[in-house]
Amino acid sequence: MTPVSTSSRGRFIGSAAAASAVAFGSPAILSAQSKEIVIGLNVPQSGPYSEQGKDQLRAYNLAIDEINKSGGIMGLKVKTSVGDDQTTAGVARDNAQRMIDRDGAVMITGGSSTGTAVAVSALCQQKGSLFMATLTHGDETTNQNCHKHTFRRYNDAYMSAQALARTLISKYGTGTWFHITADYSWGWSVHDNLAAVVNPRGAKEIANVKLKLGTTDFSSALSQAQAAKPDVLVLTEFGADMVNCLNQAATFGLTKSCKILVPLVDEYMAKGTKDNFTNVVSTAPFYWQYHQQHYTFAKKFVGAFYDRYKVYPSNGAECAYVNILVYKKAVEQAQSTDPAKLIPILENMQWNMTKGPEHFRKEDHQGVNSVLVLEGVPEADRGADGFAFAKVLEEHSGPNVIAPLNSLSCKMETA
Amino acid sequence: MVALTQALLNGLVLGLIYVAIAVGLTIVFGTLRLVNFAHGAFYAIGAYIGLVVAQNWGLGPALLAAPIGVALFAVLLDRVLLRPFYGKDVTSQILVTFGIALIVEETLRLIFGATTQQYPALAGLATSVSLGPFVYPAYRLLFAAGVIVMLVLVWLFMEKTDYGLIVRAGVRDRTMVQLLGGNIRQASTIVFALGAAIAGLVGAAASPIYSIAPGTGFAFLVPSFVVVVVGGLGSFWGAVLGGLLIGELQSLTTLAFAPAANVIIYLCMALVLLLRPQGLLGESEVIRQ
Amino acid sequence: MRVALLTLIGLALFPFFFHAIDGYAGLATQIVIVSIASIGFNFLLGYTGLLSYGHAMFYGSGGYVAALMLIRVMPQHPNLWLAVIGGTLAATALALLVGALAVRLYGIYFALLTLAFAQMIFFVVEQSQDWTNGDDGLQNFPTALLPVGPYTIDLGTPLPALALGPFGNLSDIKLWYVFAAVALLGVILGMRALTRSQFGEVLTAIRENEERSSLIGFNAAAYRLAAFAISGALTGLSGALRALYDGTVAVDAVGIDRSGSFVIYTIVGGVQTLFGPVIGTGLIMYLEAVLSAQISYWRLIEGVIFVAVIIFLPAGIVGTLTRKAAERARQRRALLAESLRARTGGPT
Repeated sequence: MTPVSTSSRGRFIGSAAAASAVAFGSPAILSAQSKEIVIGLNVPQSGPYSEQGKDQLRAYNLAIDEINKSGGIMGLKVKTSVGDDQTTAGVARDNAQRMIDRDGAVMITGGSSTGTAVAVSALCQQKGSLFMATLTHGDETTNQNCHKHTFRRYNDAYMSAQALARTLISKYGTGTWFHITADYSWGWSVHDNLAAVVNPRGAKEIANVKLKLGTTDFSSALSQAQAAKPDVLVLTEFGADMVNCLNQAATFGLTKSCKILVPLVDEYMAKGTKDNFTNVVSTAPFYWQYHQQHYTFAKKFVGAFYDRYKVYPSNGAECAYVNILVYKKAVEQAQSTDPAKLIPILENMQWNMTKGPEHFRKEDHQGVNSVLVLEGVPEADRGADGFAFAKVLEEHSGPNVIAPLNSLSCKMETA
Repeated sequence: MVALTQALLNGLVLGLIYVAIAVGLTIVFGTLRLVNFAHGAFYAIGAYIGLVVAQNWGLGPALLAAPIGVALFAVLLDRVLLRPFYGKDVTSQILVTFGIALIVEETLRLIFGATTQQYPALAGLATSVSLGPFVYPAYRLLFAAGVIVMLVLVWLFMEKTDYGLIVRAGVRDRTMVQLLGGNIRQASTIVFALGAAIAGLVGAAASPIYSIAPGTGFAFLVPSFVVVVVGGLGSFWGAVLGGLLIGELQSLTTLAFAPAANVIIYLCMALVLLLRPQGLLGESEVIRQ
Repeated sequence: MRVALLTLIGLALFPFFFHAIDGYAGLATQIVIVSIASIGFNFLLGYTGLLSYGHAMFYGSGGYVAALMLIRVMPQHPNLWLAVIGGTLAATALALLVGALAVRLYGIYFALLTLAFAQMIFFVVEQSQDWTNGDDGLQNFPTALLPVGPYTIDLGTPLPALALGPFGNLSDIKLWYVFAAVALLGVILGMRALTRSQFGEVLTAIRENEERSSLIGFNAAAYRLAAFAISGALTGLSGALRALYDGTVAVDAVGIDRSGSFVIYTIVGGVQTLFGPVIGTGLIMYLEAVLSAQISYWRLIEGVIFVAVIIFLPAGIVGTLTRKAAERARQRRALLAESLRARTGGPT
């Protein structure tokens, strides 16, 4: 509940707001009559990140169907309420409100942008609902805008920057870098983290051109990049924006003339850019081809996903899937869907699923798990459907790359 | 210097897209007195027809199929829905065409999905050519050349053919043309279809550069209105001049001070509306409804 | 008086019937708030005859200024009155500024100029990240409190619990709904008085025939500017309330889709009617919320409804109904008069 300040004079109507929510039935607590657990899936189904949203839905449906087949959670069937967040903060927030108020969702999950994640996180905090963020990469979800009710398993920008820098620094540390950045919180987060790591070690940043989310024409930024002839070109774009940007960069000859970094990638972005992604270095929290070789649980998940959908899971899908399983585990441990009981459990829980041992950090609810540094392989080597798009250069463990606690500005609520 | 030249080239490409869309808009307004908020739909439909054809038969056939398909759609629209609205009050026109734009965009979303689609790889055309100190994408240059050729053809049509004559006369004085026996009805339909076809062709031709999503048509339409206002509603050369101006302005501002790039074109539109509403090359009688 | 009573009863019963058709109280409150903006928009379009394609600039500026006041000016003592008034004044000032320039234009030129200004403001808001947080918008601002005499009210407080079967529970309703409903009632009554006043009649005269009105001596531009300012003020009030209710405001509040939404709500509901904008807002927002969960192509349905209304029901839903009702009433009166004359043997 948002803290309420009391007026020095007069009586205060509503000071029991927090208490009254409990008294009148917080939506997150199941009433005795509910026969089911409703989970809100708030994903982009339109806009530049809609492929990612679609894949998350595939994973959610897979996880929930598996759970329901084996008896549900605490014997209750799991139902979903789906919404299109349109990658817009206001819409995402309204969806979450609808899912909670009207459909009785006890947990909200999904999303492909930090902007929407922050909005939904605030709403869930206000309503006392649990939010298990999926594809949000910007630091602020578990830093400046952290909330007690929000948990974020996905790597954040700090972790990716650390991982990238450690793998690349010996080769490119003292070169010239040119940045093209998506102009919103995620883009700034990634750029700032990357610059903070490489610039002090000798990298020279020539420029940072910022372009709106959803830009289709990158020609002016790419022209400037071309003129600058950098050693490294960083394209901090995601989803369809990244595909456009990289493809257009190729027509400007940039894929041949400099080393390209795309701080975060997934299978659909690689497919959309085809051979232009060859030799591009990137990070991801999960890569199906790598993880299925090293972790049996991952192999099972990838197999089940492929059997059902005939495509391999992207890293957003994997996060969605595991989010549901972690939630189930916590609810069964608490024997309740009440966030007040779930939060301490989630803060202390450990699990070993697709990526080996993982947990959430108690102070900021950031997931502590590994980051992969990948390099794109030629399209001819990617298999018939193009999903085997990279080779792993290095796997960095979560604790090695996570932001240190003393660098955080997260002030979490007590409830 | 290099950056400036590249920015000018980028502005040219962008500007030519605006010109192509604006030409259709402005001619239709001039002859039919129709403000068509659905014009962006023609771009989008052309781009998607082009996508389907290009995926199966290549880009060449796509560039033929797109304008033809869109022209047919435009004639259908004209006959079925829009005819009662010609010459009616502007508010109704804006509203109904805005509604049609919404329906078209959502239908495209239903059929093709909301995801941005890439045109199939251009093979030989995806290279860049060396232009002195820098390289520039070959396809963009080809595209620019193609649009210029198309505009020349449209201009020839307007200047040298009978239909074009009727259309140009109709802009000035519709009643007189009808009294003189010119078949302005037929000419009008052809003009409407032509304007739509141009937008559709450009939609297909530009999508290898920009890719296509259901909202792309409308996204290009709004700046095209800026172009039409700046150039002058009803003026062909106004659309050309306005388009190039706005395209270059956007490109150069992105180079100089990127955050202002979008604001500046609307500032332009506001200034023109306030200081010289008929635009740079428009007729001053056009303003009074 | 009848109008006031009708509105009061309607607003009181609305959330409960809404719940029965799968709506929820939060959406009901949002509908009530946005209706204020639609009424403001309708005042400009329906009564003054000006189509503005940029009304989101007032809605958004009302919202952003209200939020900024809470964040930067009075974070320690968040006062809802001041935030709302601040937002509304900002929107009014903007309306006067834009209006002074725009009222000299007509038709498409007027619409495009409002679009131009709205787009400029949109991009400026988006880029002014230090103030507005860009695309992500302002969030987490302090809950505004409402000082009323000796009390300080938190509008998030729900009403006491009372189960009402299919109509939900009384405690679904927060005080926010009551506050918004009272505001809407005030706006409706005010609008009614305004359109029946001399000011309103002059506006109608100017809309119907500007030349003649000018000849009589009315300064058309001045009247239009006043109408524009009132319209902007109402829309800004709505935006401020919405931002305070949501607890967040982002660039979509100033965007072109938002401007378009007012057009859709008003046209579907009924231009030139008092309740049309309210009904239109409720209907479309409801469809958006409920349909979007079931059908992925709900916006297509919205577009079809919109075009169908323009072609077949140009007076909108409320307009057509009132016209039919008025038509029937007229026929009844004629029949009555006819039968009276027949009986009394008076002149035919």
